[in-house]
Amino acid sequence: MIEAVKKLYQQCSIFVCLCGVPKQKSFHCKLICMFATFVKQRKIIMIINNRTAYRNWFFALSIFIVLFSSCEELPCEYSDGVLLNAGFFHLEGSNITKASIDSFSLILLNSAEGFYEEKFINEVDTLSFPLSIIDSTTTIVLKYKNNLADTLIFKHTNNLLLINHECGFETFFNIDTIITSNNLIESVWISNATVNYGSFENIKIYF
Amino acid sequence: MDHSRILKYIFSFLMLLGAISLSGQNVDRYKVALGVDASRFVVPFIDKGRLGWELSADTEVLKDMFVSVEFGSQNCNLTMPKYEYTSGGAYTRLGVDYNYMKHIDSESTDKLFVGLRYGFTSFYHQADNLRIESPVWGNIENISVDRNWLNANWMEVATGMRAHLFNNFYLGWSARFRIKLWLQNDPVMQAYYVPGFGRAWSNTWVGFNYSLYYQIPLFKKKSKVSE
Repeated sequence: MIEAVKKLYQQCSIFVCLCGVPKQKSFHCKLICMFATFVKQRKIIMIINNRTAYRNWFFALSIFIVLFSSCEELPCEYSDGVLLNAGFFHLEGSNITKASIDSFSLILLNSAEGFYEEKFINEVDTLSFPLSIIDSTTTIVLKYKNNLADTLIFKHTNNLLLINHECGFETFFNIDTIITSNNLIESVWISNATVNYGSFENIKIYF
Repeated sequence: MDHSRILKYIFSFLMLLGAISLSGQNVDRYKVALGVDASRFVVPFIDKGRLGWELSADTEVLKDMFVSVEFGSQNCNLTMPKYEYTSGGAYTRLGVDYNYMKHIDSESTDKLFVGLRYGFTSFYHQADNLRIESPVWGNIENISVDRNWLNANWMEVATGMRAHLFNNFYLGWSARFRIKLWLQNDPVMQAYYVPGFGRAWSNTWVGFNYSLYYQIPLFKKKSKVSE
């Protein structure tokens, strides 16, 4: 009976230890807490067997190191939010090279204030902008320095995702089709239709 | 999949366990261990808004080989200034364990095991009073997403131990490494939490059980008359 009470006490103390593990903020704190837990657990094995089952202890500890490495959270928010990332390219025959454009304006139509404009003076070879969260169509105008302009219409599907309790919901997108004018733009290619956090390229614009 | 259908599957599985046990190798008594996961009662203090329960049953069908079934339910209710989110559903896991304690101490009635599980669930989610903010496009408020039912399944690798306390009572823990096989896609709103698995956005997840068990001796093998 005394041995059973001992085992119950040991198991309860392990339970209390393990309850503290998720509260540790860093991976290293979690590991230390688990290490302490397994030192206690090893005593249980000794009570059971009257032998030290070191290999079980190391086996279990190594399992937990691997297991806890998969515990990650999505970032609460990127400072820029969810953006569509476009790369500029030049197509000559079968040769594709990076292209740069300077002195142009990016205009988002139907924005909150009706008209959102961002001007680029220096040469850029990429462009990032947010898709509309209130509609499934986003229309942008690229206005060049020689008074030419191209219009791109993005048709997309909006998808809500609860990031975590504190951050709340964010809107991610899936690009369905892109319609473009051809003043300077030759064609547009969807390289990654899923638009979420990160700087990976979603579309290639060929000039 | 509703609760009554899941219960029918579990009952059928337990009957199958009994049938397999009867055809198993020599044991004095055929035993079934019923467990309740005590760690579920701690979850609301760690991850607010989440509440659930889990029961388990296992029996030895071959020497050191156990067949296990786990059944549970999990709800998530979050009410925040920018949203209200609700999800919930039942899940089931079926699996096998190998008890390697006998290699350490052949007389021991305790268990040190590794095992595999297959889990599946049917759950719903919905959202109300959503507020999405955008400095460019403006804010949209009071969005509601209707309740939608989704399905998911996954595999688990399990390891743990079970110690004998007194009489037929056991206490033990197990750690699970889960690999998502399939999650039904919702085109309007992605799932946040999959009952029995973990966060929906991750393809792998770590889980932990801490359970109290009661072992029920079912059938006694007829003893041979000694000559």
